[in-house]
Amino acid sequence: MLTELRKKLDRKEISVAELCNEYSARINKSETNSCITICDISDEIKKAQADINDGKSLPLTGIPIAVKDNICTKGIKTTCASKMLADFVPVYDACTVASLKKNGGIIHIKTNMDEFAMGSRGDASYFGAVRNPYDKEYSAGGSSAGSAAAVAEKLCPAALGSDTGGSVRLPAAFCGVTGLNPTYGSVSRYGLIAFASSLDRIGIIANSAADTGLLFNTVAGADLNDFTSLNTSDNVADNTGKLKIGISDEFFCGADSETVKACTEAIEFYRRSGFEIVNVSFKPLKYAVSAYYIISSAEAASNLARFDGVKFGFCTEEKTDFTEMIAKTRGEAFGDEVKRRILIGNYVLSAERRNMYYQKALNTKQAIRLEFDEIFKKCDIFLSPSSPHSAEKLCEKKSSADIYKDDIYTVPSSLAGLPSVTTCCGYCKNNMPIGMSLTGRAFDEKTIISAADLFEKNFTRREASV
Amino acid sequence: MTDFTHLAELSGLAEENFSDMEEVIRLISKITETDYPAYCAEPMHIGVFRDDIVEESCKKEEILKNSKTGFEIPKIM
Repeated sequence: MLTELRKKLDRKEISVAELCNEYSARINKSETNSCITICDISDEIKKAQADINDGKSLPLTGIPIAVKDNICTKGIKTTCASKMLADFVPVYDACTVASLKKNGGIIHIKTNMDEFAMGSRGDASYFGAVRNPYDKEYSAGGSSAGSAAAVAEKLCPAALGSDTGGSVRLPAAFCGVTGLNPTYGSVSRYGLIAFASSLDRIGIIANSAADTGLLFNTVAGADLNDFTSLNTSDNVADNTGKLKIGISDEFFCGADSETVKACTEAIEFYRRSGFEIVNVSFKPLKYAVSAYYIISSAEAASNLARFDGVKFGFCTEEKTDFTEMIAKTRGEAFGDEVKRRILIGNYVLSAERRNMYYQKALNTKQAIRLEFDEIFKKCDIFLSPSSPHSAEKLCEKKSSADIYKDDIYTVPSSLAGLPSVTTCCGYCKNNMPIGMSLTGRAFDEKTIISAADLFEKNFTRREASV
Repeated sequence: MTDFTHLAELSGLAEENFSDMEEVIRLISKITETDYPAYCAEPMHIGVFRDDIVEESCKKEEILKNSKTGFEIPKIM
């Protein structure tokens, strides 16, 4: 879609104003609660049109892009969907946002999300739950719920999200679009409000794998403001010959029958297309969720300690003494899920539990990384369902532990730092999309995006109905 | 039974009722069954600070610190 828009804009088949007005009209009619902030882009529209008229268009000139509301945008509210930062206006752009702008992109909406990116149902936002564009009664997934819903509902052609344990891939799967979680280090995290720094990544949600690749090329690369980022162009594998796809029984036995059927059909498609399918095992899978929630919560407890009512954002009205002010500020401004993660983090980091929980989680993380190393000796791509099931109804109450368990298929590649792309591979009887994930070797986004692109060209997606 | 009220106070949070924390703790406690070798911070292909980037950045900060206008590190959060 991005390539088509570029051509249409450059050929003057559509003006930047017409394109943006089209998206704007849909945004105003939308009932999915995908947007937190609608940006004033009148100046950007004029500039983009002038650049096109002068023949100076860049890859994204005049194309509106949505940005998740935990990615800093200069002069535009960045709330993290939290009361704590409800009025926070950054004084600088995140590296990814600056890259989009440098390439001509227009940031037109900031999208709704689970508070501080903690959640996988899109219902833990201070601004209310995001609703699935396929059926408003259903969850859009999380935490980049608004970004995925906005792409599915055609409020934007593409969006930035963030992924710590599945936050790009799960909503992409639930909303029937494509989500790319790049290799840790390939995209700068500068300006992404931290949740769990060793796992956080900025990802891309779009209508197709080709579009995620195009946007990935725009935002990837080393950034002096993020010491863990690096240039990746030299690391792309040169895959010649027959590609091998690895599948593991452990990743299918917990999924529902419709998900297994859709993924099995996708595997058959790849087999028919000349890929070799190999069976692999993934023994540490049963510990992946525990390891992920220990490490991410420990880091979240540390990262969110800065929100004390003094330096940033919300401060309680009841100011008695300093300690009580901090407790009241955090108690009033953080939602239940954020508080739960902070408690888990401080629980596992306490002196008497650190070795029993945190150290063992780090050891498990390394074991998972080594397991993937073994797997990628036998195959080039690892295919799995993105989630054990498709989107669930928002009114369906589940315990926190049960919600956490649903992350089981996305957290392994998060812990290993590997790239993964999710694409729609089928639909349930109730018309809700089913997603599959293709995980690749570190910095080999090219292979998984190409494989997802091949599947998408042979699969017909259904339009969202909302 | 863990006293989460006390833990909440230590976390700088107001007193809350976390009815399902015990279940969450049971879930994460699965990790205690594991016996994987100790993680050691060997140089890895990802997630490490690259010397050249660190060096470049230090140079940049030094220049800015010594400039007449001074350098204010942007407040991220």
